[in-house]
Amino acid sequence: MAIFNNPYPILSNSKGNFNDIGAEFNCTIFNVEFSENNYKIELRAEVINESVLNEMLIKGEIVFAVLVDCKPFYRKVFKSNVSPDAVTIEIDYRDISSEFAFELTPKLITEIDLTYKNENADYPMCDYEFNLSASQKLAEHDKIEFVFDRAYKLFDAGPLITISRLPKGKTPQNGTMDIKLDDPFNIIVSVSYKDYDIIKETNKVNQKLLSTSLSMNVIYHALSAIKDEPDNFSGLDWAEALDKRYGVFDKLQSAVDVLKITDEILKSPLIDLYNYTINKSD
Amino acid sequence: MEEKVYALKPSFIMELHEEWKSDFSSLSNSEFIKHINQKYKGDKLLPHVLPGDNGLYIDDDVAFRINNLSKVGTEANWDLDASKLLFEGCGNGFGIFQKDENGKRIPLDMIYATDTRVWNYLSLFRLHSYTKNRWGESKDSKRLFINTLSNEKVTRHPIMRLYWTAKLCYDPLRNDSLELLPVLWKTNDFMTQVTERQQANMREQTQWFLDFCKDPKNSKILNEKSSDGYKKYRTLLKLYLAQDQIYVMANTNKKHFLSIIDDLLKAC
Repeated sequence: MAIFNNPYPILSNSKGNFNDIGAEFNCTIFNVEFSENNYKIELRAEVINESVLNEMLIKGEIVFAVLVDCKPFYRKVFKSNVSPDAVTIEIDYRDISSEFAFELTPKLITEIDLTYKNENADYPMCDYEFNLSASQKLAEHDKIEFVFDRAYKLFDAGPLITISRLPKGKTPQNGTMDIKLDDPFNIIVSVSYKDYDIIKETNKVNQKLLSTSLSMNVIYHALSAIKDEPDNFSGLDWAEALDKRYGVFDKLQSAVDVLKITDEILKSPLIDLYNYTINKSD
Repeated sequence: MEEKVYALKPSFIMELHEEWKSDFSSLSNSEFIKHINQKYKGDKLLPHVLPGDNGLYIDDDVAFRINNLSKVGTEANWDLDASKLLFEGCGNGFGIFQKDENGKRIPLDMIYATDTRVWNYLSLFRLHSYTKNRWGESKDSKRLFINTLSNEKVTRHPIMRLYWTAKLCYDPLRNDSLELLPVLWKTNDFMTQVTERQQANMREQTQWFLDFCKDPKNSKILNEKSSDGYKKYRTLLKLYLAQDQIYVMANTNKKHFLSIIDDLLKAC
């Protein structure tokens, strides 16, 4: 028998008051996704060998909740919505600090004021009735730490391609766009004053379309140039960054290699666009 | 007018920190700030900032004013003025900002608001005069650099603390969106006490708490002298943190929250 300093019985695998019957509060993360600027984490809770809390959960007197902390200055509670034992956490990545690290603390908490007595609790807590307010915890899981590696790196190197607007009246020498590859930091794409607005609008409507139509061509062009004259690009930050990650100075031997690495850099942009379009039209 | 806010390369921040440790740790911070601003004057800093456009700007009038603020009244008043300027600007919109698609100034999103590379650039270079004036006599590197994020570190960084105190108090639905900022900056000690602990992670509840402190009938929490260490406030905070182990405070509504704080204050 272990009694911790809880004011009423709490089911916790480390500091709980249900050791005599071997009850447990377990959680499983069953899905993690990053899409459309959102982190999505789905958790499921399971109360083992404890019927009172299970019944309260089914009746909706208590709910499964996950407290999310992120340093600094972020703390939010996500409660079960569709099913009483499951919580879906959805966080816009722009609300989270640049460390992209979360601490998740799963809990069962009271949804309403209630009187709580649990004969399954360790002695002597099993003999008492407790008046609880809403938002008090009845079960708690150890903290789960979660770290994503996302977005920081993109900003770290700066954007690979920068779209530059030519002054009014000037047009690119090579048709729709001029691609400048000798800038140390980015590939610079120059477009006419008017086309710049069209690109901006397209970006607002559908980023994936822009990524496919513009970035794919630009990267294909840049990689082809690297394949032909790798020495011309050594020392340029953007090319070095591509080499570090994709080995572009060594691996590009043929046009097929160029296509393959373009696809790798943009993460299969055509299929991605098709999937996106199909899902959107559903 | 506005100017671009740079982000220092992480390797450069480490290099500066190493230099501070080896040559300046026994000297005042003002010596280090003078040294690096001379050494990396003008274009010499450019190789040490990250390439690319990060879309962050500072109003140059705001930067000028913050750099030229001086102590009038208490140090907390000084910080309060700087905090207001940095966040709210001086008439043209936010002081440090991003832009929306129409070019309108908007507050920083969380990624930029916590990007230590940006805040080190501001404390060591763009707003170095403020850092020197305000923390020049200190020998503590926390008053120059921030390397990792925690409430405690943000609260001690010379520039990040200015931004974050305003961000915590910012409520666009109030007539004065920074109405609670003067309450938080009552004294430096009080600001630190409120923001450095985990309860400050609950922004809404922190604003309710500041509303509570603003009410004259509860002012006894703030009326003790800072040198007494805010005994009542510290006791209240301990009880508050203990309650957070029982109640999931981040899930409470304002009425319930205030009744909890009221009960706790009676026990102090």
